[in-house]
Amino acid sequence: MNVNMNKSGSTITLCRLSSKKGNDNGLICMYNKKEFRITSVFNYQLQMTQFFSNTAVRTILVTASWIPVAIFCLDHGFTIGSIHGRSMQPTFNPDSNKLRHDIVLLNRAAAITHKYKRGDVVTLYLPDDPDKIIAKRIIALEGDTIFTLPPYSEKFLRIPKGYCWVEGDDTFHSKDSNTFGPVPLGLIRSKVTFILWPFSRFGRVPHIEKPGRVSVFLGDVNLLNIFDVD
Amino acid sequence: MRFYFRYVNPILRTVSTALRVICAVHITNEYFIEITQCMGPSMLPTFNVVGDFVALEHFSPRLRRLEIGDVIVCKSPTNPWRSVCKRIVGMPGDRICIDPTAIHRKFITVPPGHVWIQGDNMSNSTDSRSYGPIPYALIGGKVFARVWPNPCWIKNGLITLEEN
Repeated sequence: MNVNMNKSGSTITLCRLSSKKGNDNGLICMYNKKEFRITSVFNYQLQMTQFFSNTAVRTILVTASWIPVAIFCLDHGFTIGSIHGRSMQPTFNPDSNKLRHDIVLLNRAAAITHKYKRGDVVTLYLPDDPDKIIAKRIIALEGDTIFTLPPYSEKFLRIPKGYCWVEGDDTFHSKDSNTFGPVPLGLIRSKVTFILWPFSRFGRVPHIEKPGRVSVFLGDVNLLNIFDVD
Repeated sequence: MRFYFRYVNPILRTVSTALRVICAVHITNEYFIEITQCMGPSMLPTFNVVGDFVALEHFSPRLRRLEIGDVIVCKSPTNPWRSVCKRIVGMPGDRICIDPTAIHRKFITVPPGHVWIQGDNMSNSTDSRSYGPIPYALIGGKVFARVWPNPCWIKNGLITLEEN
């Protein structure tokens, strides 16, 4: 960097000291073709310029500026997650070894539109506990009528607007909608699309519907007369 | 090569800067502080019908620090697209009278992990009285200030009655 300044007719040339001169402290100052060395620089602007032109500082700042983009992609794109427990047997964790967990690909972009199909495997917040996230299969969507299983109080139920019915694949070892009822669609975080680990079961998550227990609602969901005002 | 440095490179730089700025703003809105519009008659004495701009913070719901009397913004359980602004009236374990004006009063205990929310304008508000207690995970943020009109802090509305 060279700075040429005109001051009362004489030329002052400021240049940053290059490393080959052997000394990094200060500036070489040319005044009337004679060389001076300024060791302490009080020019704040110059120091800031030097600071931001430093290669390491620039690298750190540029990397830091991409962190929000990375967080955005993880939040609204694709993430991986591991699945614990036996409630989704045989789709996930088919052998009951507690040390082995399936690693799956979570499609969080699918949760933006809130459009799901019967048979999708989704992750959602446990309604009873906001700290826990569970993976279940959507059995019925809004408007459908579902024949419930024993722990639930009623024999069959019409799913209200904005809710869905989720169940684990292993019905007997699963805490699902049969215990806590239909869940709001807003609780769903992501769709489970791929099994990544173990490699032997690498592939798409199978899509299983239960047509025998669900009577599908074919009308317009918006006409379900349930609390559709503010 | 000259074409690249003259035309393509500046465009790429602008696009990448815009991407980073937009993502930073989005992350700020999602994790820290956000300004939104709160419409509808359900919070009438506190907020206007036509839509007040309110500031909400996302720290309290994440740290589980919400209390009775806080004004919150949450996803509507009946419509995942819509956010509603209500006041917390009951926390898990509280026993709540659904309609105090009814002859036969019904009481409900708020289940664990849920909150009971109600609008300030009780006669014109769709809230927990119609759809029941809502899961805590639906809560998006806590309203702490009104930005426009009449800027002011929104304080906890719970008043302790002194015992005589």
